[in-house]
Amino acid sequence: MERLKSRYSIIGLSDGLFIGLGLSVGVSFFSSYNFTLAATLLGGLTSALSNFFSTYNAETFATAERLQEYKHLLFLKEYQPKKLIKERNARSINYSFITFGFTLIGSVFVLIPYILASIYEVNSLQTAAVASFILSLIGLGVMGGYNSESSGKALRGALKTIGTGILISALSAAVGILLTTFLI
Amino acid sequence: MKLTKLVIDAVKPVGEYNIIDLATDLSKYVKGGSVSIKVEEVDMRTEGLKISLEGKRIDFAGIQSAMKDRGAVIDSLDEAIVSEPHGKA
Repeated sequence: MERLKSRYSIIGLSDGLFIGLGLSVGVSFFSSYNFTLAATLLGGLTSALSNFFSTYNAETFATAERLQEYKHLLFLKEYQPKKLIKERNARSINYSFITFGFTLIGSVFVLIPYILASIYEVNSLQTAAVASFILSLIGLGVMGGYNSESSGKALRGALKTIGTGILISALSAAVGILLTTFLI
Repeated sequence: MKLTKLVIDAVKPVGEYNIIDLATDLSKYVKGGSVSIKVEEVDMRTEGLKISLEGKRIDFAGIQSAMKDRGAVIDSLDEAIVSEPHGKA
C-alpha cells in the first residue's frame, strides 16, 4: 500500500510540475504578470481536480474488477464483502487526495518565483519566468532522481525527467510565440 | 450446550488485509477465548487458512458474517466442540 501511495504522489507531483512549467513558460510570452500567475494557478487547480476524479474512477474500476476476479476464484454466485469494499473505497479516496494535493503542490511550486517577485516588487516578468523555469527543472530533477533511485539509475532518471521538462517548455514556448505573433 | 471450539478451513483474498485484521474481527464473536489463524497455502490471488477458535462461547453466525464482510469464504468445518456450561452436571 505504501508503494501505491508513493506512486500516486509521484504521478501528482510530476503532473503538477509539468503542467506548471509548460503553462508558465507558454503564458509568460503574453507579457502579463498577473495573467501568467492566474493561468498557471488555474491550470494547476484544474489538473489537480481532474487527477482527483481520474484516480478515484480508476481505483473504483480496479475494485470492481478485483471483486469480479475474487468471485470467480472463490466459485461464488454472490460476492459483496462489505468491509473489504468499505476499506477499498476509503483507500481510493485517500489516493485521490494524494494525487490532488501533489498536483497542486507541483503547480504552485513553479509559481514560487512569481509570488516572491510580487512580494518584493520585482517587476521583471522575464526574471521570474527564468527563475521559475530553473526551479521547475530542479524540482523535476529531484523527483526523477528519487523515482529511479531504487533501480540504481538516479542520475539517469533525473536527467531524463529534466529533458522531458525542457521539451515541454520548448513546445509550450513555441506555441506561446506563435500565439503572440499571429493572434494577439 | 455451547460451542466452545471450532476449526475452520477458509480462503481469503491475498493482499487486501492481513490475518491479524481477520483475527481481530473474529475475536469479537469469541467470548473468553482466543483466535488462531495459520496460513496453510498461498496462491496468486488467494490464501488458504486454518482458523482455530476457542472460548467459553463462540457465536458461529457472527463468525460467518464477519468472514463474509471481509470477503473470506468458509471451505469446511474441520472440528467442533460443544460443551456444557461450567458448573452444570
